[in-house]
Amino acid sequence: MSRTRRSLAEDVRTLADGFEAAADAEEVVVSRVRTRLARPSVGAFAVVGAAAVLLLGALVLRSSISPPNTAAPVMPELVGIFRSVEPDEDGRCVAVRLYDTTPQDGRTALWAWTGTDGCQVRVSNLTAGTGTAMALALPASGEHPSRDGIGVAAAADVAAPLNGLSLVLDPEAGRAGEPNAEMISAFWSTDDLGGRHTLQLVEVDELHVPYRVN
Amino acid sequence: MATHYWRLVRLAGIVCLDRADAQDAVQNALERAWRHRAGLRQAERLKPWLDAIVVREAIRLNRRRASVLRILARPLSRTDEPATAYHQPMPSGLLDDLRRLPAAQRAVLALHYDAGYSVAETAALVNAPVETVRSRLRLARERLRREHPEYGEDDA
Repeated sequence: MSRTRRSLAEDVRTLADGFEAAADAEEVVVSRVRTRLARPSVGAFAVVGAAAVLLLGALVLRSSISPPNTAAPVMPELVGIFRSVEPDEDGRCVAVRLYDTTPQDGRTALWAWTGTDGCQVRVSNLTAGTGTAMALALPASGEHPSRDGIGVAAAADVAAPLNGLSLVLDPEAGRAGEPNAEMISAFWSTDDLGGRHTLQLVEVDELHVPYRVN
Repeated sequence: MATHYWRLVRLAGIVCLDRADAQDAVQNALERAWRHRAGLRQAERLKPWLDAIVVREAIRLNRRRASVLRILARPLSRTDEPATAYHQPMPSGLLDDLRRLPAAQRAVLALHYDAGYSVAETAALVNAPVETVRSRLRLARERLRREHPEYGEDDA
């Protein structure tokens, strides 16, 4: 290639470097908070227009899960891609990602994986804005919690500063014959946000996250 | 582990051209991968399997973002711009020109140029005929060369 000419391939790779670096530079906050095991309460899951809602996620996985198929040796590694930390001496830990970018609809706020021994998640520090924030638990199968009764949803109007959006996982959420993995997601639908907004996972219980990243 | 994640962010980044969208696409894709883990029969195929899912998810997300209402609603100062701050100067206007390409063309650029898949491998990953992938690459190169003559034929 001539010195005066650029390589599209090189520029594509350079651009990709930029996205990788940007992701790497984002803040990851790890918090270990212990709280009581709360019983579930079935809440209503509000359906928001698809154009306004994207997934904000908190994914949690139990340490003892073994996928029930030939992919078993692979998927635990994949799961580890999510932010996680080693459990503390009590086997409780949580990885929290504090997403502090200028918010747009449905940005991922936090994610982790856990088993379903039971946990409570409280989203806090969502400051100002208008719209709706909600959180829900999904079974690993991806079925909607309102359809099969698994998991609990919570929603709140965030026109005022929000502190304490709670999500409670059912200790018996796992179904017979299926891994007891659950995914927790926080959805955040907003339409007129200004300034910085954060979601922070502040309370969890009985989390078992055996995977480590970084 | 980390190798997968960062590679996937790179791929999604080229397709979405927005760092937040790229990370959302990766998370959505990993969630989808988990749900459909039974579809992965060979552990050694994990990398291309994940790459394909991420690229599909990035295209899907990009299409959703591309709705007219979305475009009108988006603020002028977008979070994708800072991506340029992390790397060396690009040809002026390249990002905008890339944005004007269809996401499917950006996807093959990412898989072929960044991830290093051959045209045939890329075709398999995007589930398209080899000639279609060749055509997408050619159209993307031609379009970019029109705006940026400094790109030679070397990339063909």
